[in-house]
Order: sequence, then structure tokens, then C-alpha cells
Amino acid sequence: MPLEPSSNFTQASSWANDWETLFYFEVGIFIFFSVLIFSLILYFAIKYRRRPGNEAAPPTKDHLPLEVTWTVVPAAICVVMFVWGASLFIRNGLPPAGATEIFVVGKQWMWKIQYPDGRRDINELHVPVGVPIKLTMASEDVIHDFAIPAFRIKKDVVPGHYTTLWFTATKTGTYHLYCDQYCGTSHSAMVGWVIVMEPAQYAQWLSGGGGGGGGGKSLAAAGADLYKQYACSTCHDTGRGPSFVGVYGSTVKLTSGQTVKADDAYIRESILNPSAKIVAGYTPIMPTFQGQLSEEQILQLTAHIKSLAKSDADGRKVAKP
Amino acid sequence: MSQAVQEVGVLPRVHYLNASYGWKTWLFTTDHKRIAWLYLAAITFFFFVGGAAATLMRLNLIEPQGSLIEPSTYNRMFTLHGLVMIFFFLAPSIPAVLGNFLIPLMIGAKDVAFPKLNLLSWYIFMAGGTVFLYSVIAGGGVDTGWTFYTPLSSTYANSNVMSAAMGVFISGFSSILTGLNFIVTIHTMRAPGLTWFRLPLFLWSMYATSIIFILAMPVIAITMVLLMLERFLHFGFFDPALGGDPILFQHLFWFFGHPEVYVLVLPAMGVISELIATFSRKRVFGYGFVAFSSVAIAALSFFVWGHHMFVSGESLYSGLVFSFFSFAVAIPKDRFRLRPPCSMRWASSVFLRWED
Ligand code: HEC
Ligand SMILES: [Cu+2]
Repeated sequence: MPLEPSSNFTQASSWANDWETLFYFEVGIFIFFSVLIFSLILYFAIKYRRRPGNEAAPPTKDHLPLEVTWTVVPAAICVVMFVWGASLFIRNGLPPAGATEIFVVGKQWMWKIQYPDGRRDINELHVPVGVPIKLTMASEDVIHDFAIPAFRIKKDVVPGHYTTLWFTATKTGTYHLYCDQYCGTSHSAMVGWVIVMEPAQYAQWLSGGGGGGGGGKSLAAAGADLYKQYACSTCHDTGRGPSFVGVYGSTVKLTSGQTVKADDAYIRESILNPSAKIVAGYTPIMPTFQGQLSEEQILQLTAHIKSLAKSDADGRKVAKP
Repeated sequence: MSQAVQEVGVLPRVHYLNASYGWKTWLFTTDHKRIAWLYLAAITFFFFVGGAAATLMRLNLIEPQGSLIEPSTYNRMFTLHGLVMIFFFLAPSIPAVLGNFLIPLMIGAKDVAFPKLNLLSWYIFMAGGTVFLYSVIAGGGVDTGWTFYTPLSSTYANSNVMSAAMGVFISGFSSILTGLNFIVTIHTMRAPGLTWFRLPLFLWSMYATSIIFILAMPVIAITMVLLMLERFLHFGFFDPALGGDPILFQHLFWFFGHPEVYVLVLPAMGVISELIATFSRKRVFGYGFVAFSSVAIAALSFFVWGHHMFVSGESLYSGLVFSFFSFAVAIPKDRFRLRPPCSMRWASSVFLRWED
């Protein structure tokens, strides 16, 4: 851990201020009404206490205007909170197209981070300041949760699914990273650091060497190796299976007549559970690779397939039939 | 005690406490008041069990490194605390104790509709509690957290998940039967002239709670069965390695879990409404609105479970829909929160007394 970490209260991402404003707005409303209600209870209890001449209460009548008021006013406040929260939630859920992708794999009890060009980290996430970052996250075992309090963001990391989280760091420094979903015995030790660097420094750090299983290769290159090693090529380069050129990001037609967008989750599913969605025009002969490929290897294969998205050997954009 | 009883002149000479003596007359009683006492004894015991677990946790946190107990023990303690307090203390607390005691009295009935079933509920509750405690005493405890999230609970945890899940499964039936009993009692055994809108508000809250019992408890029971099948026989429901989906577990769990929150709070709101009505010597202000709100909360509580899953990777749309419904259920809840001061304002004779 290179630098003294900043406090979790620091606002270090583009989200921090937005979420915090909403949070304090809501807390303010709660405090206002709590104080109002409890002071009124106290005040009325004293003012209308039972004493001689005030023994029996007069009968109560319903008071319609009052009923309407305390339905409409809370409803209006709720609408404000909902619209405000929902607009943030939507923005939070839609990473911008040009975001830099970094991959996170959670595992009892550590975080494995992979950068597209091959660097790997354990329990440390390095990001450049001021650049939108999209994390694509997978879990090897149980549910974890990737949480950076100084960024005011978190998202579960769920086995069998990809989840994503995006942010733009706004302040260089070192921040706490926690697993925020109880995940077994050493959950509390599943912590790490987020290191936000100046872009130039980051570029230098990235090129500073690989290490780890990728052998310093980029994700896509490591994926190309796996592609040969696991003999994907025997089908996918021979016409028995679909070619991957131009597949990633395209809309794939299925035998069921439906279509599906070829994103990370689709590629992952096609590898682990090939019979779930069958590409139109092909027989479902692909074997499952469930249990043979780790989440990291699947990310590498996906990166390889992605690298073929743009063009074939001649530089043409090839559309799927 | 006996003196106090004599002083209250209205009590008959023979009443439910002194009509018969001996442990048998208690353990085989079908008297709703005695059964309420049985529940009170049981939940008090469980309260101390859950409290002891919490005490150990807090003691361990006296110093940052937490050297008093091992991490694995610590995890067992907070799981034990959560499960005991939710399933064996809070859920049965007001409904099974005050509900059993007061519902027949408040509607002018001799007992609940099915007195034997009522006793059976208590035995089922005790059986569930015993099986659950077995997992702690003999089985070394359970360390999944009270939510039993899969695949941690179904595949990875080494602790005694099976008997803990079994305990929760069994005790759920106790709540289902109690809910059934209360609903039938309130529907069919009201004294002549005691129309729905003359019921004390506590009964409306018990009615709403009972609805939740009979709709939500079966769901947790089924979920526990699926969990046990996956853990024991490796059926793939929740673990992706077996072809399941862990998010499915969360949907099932919170479909029960959120209404469960209202099992905890509705009875308390009922008690408060009753206290205010009694001590200000009149109906709570806006009675009809409160009565409807109880049932509205119970009904709406089944449409908001997804707000426990906002960060689970559920889709944007489902997040938005669940957020919307969650705000919608806040509105009948506000009716309760704003009610007490106004009831007092219009009550104009409140219980506070002092000499002036
Ligand atoms: C035995 C032949 C075979 C092998 C080996 C094979 N595949 Fe496939 N694959 C297919 C066929 C046929 C399809 C199309 C039918 C379907 O969707 O199942 C396919 C579909 C796919 C798709 C969906 C492609 C699209 O156009 O939508 C992906 C992704 C994929 N395979 C990845 C892989 C990877 C990665 C490997 C190696 C680890 C691999 N496959 C190995 C036969 C194979
Ligand atoms: Cu974790």
C-alpha cells in the first residue's frame, strides 16, 4: 500500500457529492418530521393532561381535510425522493460507452483485478483520475460486494452473473476497498486499496510490467492462447461453429427466432451453457466448459472475441447473417 | 400477587391462574391466556440466548483486533443472534403473547377459534426452537448470516446449516397456524354488535399480521426446503456450479423477508394505538383510516421485496419498480406516524396526571 489512505468520508468520485446530497436531504426530512411528531406528542400530552373538569374526552370526529393533507404532503415528498433517487440510480446503472474497462474477480477471500493490457493486481485497484472506469465483475465462489466508500459506490459480485460498476475518480490518493457482503470466515479480511493516479503516472504504472498468469500478455492475447489451447478453433475457425469476427456487440439471431445482444454476459453464457441460446443456422454441438475455465480465463477469452469485433483480416466490418 | 388480585374487585375468585395447578395443567392447557404465558416464557428464554450472542459480539469488539473469540466464532454469534431474534423472539413476541391473550378478550369470545391448534402452535414453535438450538449446541453453530445467502449457505459454509434451516422451517408452521387461528377468530367469534369498525385497532393490526403469517411463512418454509435439498442432495437451485441462480434465493427470501418486517412493526403500531386510545379515553383519531392502513401495509408489503436487492445486480427496471412501490407503502405508514399527536390533540384528556 503505497500512500497513507484517505478517510472514507473523503469525496473522491463523481458520484460522491450526488449521493451525499440526496442522503442528507432525506436525513433532513426524517429529522424534521421526527422532531415535529415527538414534540407535538409531548406538548399535547402535557397541555391536555387529565385534571379535574377534564376527565371525559369529547367524542372524536374524523377530519377529512387533515386526512387528505397528511396523505398528499408525504406523497409529494415521496415523489421528490423517488424521482431524485431514480435519476441517480439510472445514471449509476448505465456506464458511458467510452469507459475504460477493468475486470474484477472476487474469490474467498481476495480481489483479483485484471487490466485489459495484461497487468494484474491482487487487492489493489489502480485507476487514472478523471477518466470514466467501468468494472466488470465476476465471482469464483460466493456472493461478494465491491465497495469503495470514498467513491460512495458498491455492487454485489455474484457467481454466475456479471455485474458492473462505473465511476470517475476525482481525487488522486489511496482509498479503502471492502467486501461489503458477508462471504464466510475471513470476510472481514477481504479488503484492499484503490489507488487513484494522474493519467501519466497510471500509464507508466501499466507499462511497468505484467507478472501473474497472463505472463504479461494483454487480456486478448492471453485469450487467444486459451482459444488455441482449448481447441475452440477446431470449430470456430472451420465453419462448424460461427466465426467470431464482428460478433461482439452485434445482435445475434437465435434458432428460437429471438435475438440477443452479444455482450460479456452472452459470451460467458455461450461458453458455460452453450445450449441455453443457440445461434441460428448451427447445430448445438458445442460442449460446455463449465468447471474447466475459471472466471478469469473466461474474461480473457471474451477479450479475445471482443478484439475480433471490429474487423476481419482484411479490415472489413463483417456483419453476422 | 394474590393480594393485588383480591384488590381488583372485578376478578372472580377462580380464574385462569388458580383454576388448576401443576405443570401438566400448563403444558396441556388449551386456555389462550395460559398459552400466551407459555409463549412469553419461551420467547424470554430465546431473548436471552440471542442477547448472550450479541453480548459476546460486543465484548469482542472492545478492542479492534477482537481477540476474545475467533472470527469463525464471531460469525456464528451474529448469525445466531440474527436468527434467534428474528424467528424465535420478535416474530412471535407481540402476536403470540399479547395476541393470544387479548384477541378473545377484546372480541368477547371464550377462547380462540381452535384452542387445540393454538397449543399445537406452541409445541411446533418449541420443536423448531429445539432443532435450531441443536445446531448451536451439538452442531457447532451456523455461520451463514441470518439471511442464509446462497451459495455460501448451500455449498461453501462448513457449519451446521441443515439443522438451523430445519429449525426455521419447523417454527414457520407455528406462525402459520397462529395466523390462521387469529383470522378465523376475528372473523367468526366477535360478540354481537361488535362490527369490524368497532374493533380495537390492536385487532386490526393482529388481523393484518396474521395475513402476512399465512402468506409469507410458507414461502420461507419452501425456501428452506430448497436450500436443504441443494446442500444435502446437490439439487441445483441456487448454486451456479450446479446450474442454479443465487439471485433466485434472494427473491424467495425477501418475498418472505420484507413482509416479515411488518410482522415486527404492525403489532407494535397496534399496541401504541391501543395505549393512546385507552389513556385518552376515546377512539384513536381517524380510526377508519388507521384500520385500512394496517391492511394496506400488509398487502403492499408483498410488492417491495426487491428493495433489498438494489446492489445485487438486479435490472435497472426492477430496481425502479421496487423503489416506487416502496415509497407507495410509506404513505399508509405515515398515517401511523402522524397519528399519535393528533389523537392527543383531539382527545383533550390524556393520561398524564399531576397535581395542579
Ligand atoms: C465442437 C465444436 C465447438 C467447440 C470446440 C467450441 N464451440 Fe463455441 N460454438 C459451437 C457452435 C456450433 C456454436 C453455435 C451454436 C450455439 O450457439 O451453441 C458455438 C457458439 C459459440 C458462441 C456464441 C457465438 C455467436 O456467434 O453468438 C461462443 C461465444 C462460443 N461458441 C465460444 C466458444 C469458445 C470460447 C470455445 C473454446 C473454449 C468454443 N466455443 C468451443 C461449436 C463449438
Ligand atoms: Cu466477500
